[in-house]
Amino acid sequence: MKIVFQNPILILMIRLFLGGLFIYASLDKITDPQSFSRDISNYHIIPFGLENSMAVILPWLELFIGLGLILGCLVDGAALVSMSLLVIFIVAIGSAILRGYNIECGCGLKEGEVVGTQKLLENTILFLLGFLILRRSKKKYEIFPNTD
Amino acid sequence: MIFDTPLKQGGLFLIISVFVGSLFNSLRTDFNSIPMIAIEIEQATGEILLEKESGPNEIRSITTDQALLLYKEGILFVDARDIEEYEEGHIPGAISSEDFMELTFHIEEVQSKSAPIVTYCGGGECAKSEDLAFDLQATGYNQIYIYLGGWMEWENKGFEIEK
Repeated sequence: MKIVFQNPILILMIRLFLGGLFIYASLDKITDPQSFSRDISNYHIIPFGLENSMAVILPWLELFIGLGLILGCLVDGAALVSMSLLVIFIVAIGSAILRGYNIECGCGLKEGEVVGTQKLLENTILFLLGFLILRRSKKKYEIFPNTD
Repeated sequence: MIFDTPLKQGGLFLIISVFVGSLFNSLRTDFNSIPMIAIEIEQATGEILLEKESGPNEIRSITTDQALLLYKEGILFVDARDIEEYEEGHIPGAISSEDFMELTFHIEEVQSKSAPIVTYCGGGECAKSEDLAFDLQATGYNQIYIYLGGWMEWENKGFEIEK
């Protein structure tokens, strides 16, 4: 089992999938930060009007780690950031569900997606994929930093 | 090698994103840039209601008393909740926002773009009335009030309802 998860080809495919997903999710948010900021604000967990700063910066972070994962550039960092982001998303969505909010997810993947246990499950799976990337044994098909 | 740990690399991603994001936001020219700190929606004061002082493109929030006042003035109310909730009961005369296109056609038929509109949803921490208000603003309506108390307060106060 362990060997399967360490397969460089599999790791590469996971990197392309996760990276592609992050890039795709970032595009709408970069185009329209105002509506992304409203989606964040609807969670009622970001204080002092900082949802706007988050709406300006977070999509770019998603874009850059997506590029990093796909190009094989700073893969460790990209995997770590993607895992951290997914933990934040899981906590945010979980807290919204617990408080009984029926709000738009703001995930950026599908228009009008509402928070729910399905999003929690999806994000948990993506988190595990990030973990597999971070724990890979061979740094193959990566351009920077070139350690092999 | 400076960026030899995942944490340092992650920090680099973060720094680059903060820099590029802020720069892009301040330089973009497509009217989609936003202030880094969100401005809270202001509470409408009693006397500005209906006096067109709201000015273009300023969304204000209103209290239950103000909502009742506007209701009695015959101002258009739009219900932002799900259609099922709307059908179970709504503020009399309010129209559902279920189909946004249909809603805008309907509003266009009955009033001008500068005439006031009140949006509301379930109340409490519901967000749909705010989303709807911004969507309407983007379509060109410029006197929009959000009734934050929403359906919950309206019903609790025992005001008229329609089924």
